[in-house]
Amino acid sequence: MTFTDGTIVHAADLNALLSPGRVFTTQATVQSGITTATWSDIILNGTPATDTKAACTGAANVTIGKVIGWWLVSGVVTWVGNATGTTRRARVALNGTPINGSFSTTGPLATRVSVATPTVLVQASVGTDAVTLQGYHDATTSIAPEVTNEVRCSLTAVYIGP
Amino acid sequence: MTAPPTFSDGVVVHATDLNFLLNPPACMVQQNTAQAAIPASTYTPITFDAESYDPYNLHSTSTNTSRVNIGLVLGWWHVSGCVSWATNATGNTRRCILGINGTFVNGSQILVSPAPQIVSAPLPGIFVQSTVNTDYIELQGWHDATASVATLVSGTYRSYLAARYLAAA
Repeated sequence: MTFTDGTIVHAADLNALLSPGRVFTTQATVQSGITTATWSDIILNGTPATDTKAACTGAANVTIGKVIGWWLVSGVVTWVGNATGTTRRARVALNGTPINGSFSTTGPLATRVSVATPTVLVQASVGTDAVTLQGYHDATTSIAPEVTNEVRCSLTAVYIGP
Repeated sequence: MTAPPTFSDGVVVHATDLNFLLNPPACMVQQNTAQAAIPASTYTPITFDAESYDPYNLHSTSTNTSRVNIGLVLGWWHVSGCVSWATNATGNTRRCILGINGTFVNGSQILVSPAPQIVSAPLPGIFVQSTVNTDYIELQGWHDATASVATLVSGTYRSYLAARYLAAA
């Protein structure tokens, strides 16, 4: 919505400010076999803790285009234990294109290890625009993200304005 | 408990309601004094002895200092935090996790390597919901070093917990 001098402000517009679009969702079942040295979308098939605009698809895409404008987005990829290779990474992508500044990296561990992205601003321009959380590793074999109790990949998005 | 405003057509909008929109309940608390001797393999609440911002008194520096009382306003809160660990390269992992009333939140656990240098486990923003006025959040730390490990307070290296009210439903 936008406000204009001399125009009545409707309650629905103010109430919308009190309840901006938001998503917090996780991975619920193990995504096996993420190929080495390949950026891959993380599947977010858990029941969202909150998803006010029905942005979650149950797959990797989170359709922030449900509300056109700017969203704050961040995510976490937690990898299973595997000490091979040199790096574990995560980033945020819009329609498959990585968002500058969202990249984060850490070393591999024999035990589980998390990579949290910075929080970045992403603009939804059309209704189909979707963000994904992406992971990357260079282990000697395919490896999976971790799903054990509260340890799991997650993505958070909140609408902040047009 | 503070009730968020609701707006209805034809009803006067009060300044306090618009000011709530401009300045919703929020706080950021941090450690200015290191928390010594966190035992191995035990989830331990991180205590905060300083408040960078807490106009709604969501936190106390004298009682239950690990807690941020998000039950003050019922609804959804955007929460982030970090546990900053002192140097200790033993063991396999350093963790941070968010709890609401002591129950861990799915997707909130961060696991990092016990690098030979200082190490931080940062939790980016996630959403949690308060449903009763006694609800509180805590950041908890965990490690598997061969001895107790302290948190780190040095310059800008320190543990923190931040929360901002976002919406009623």
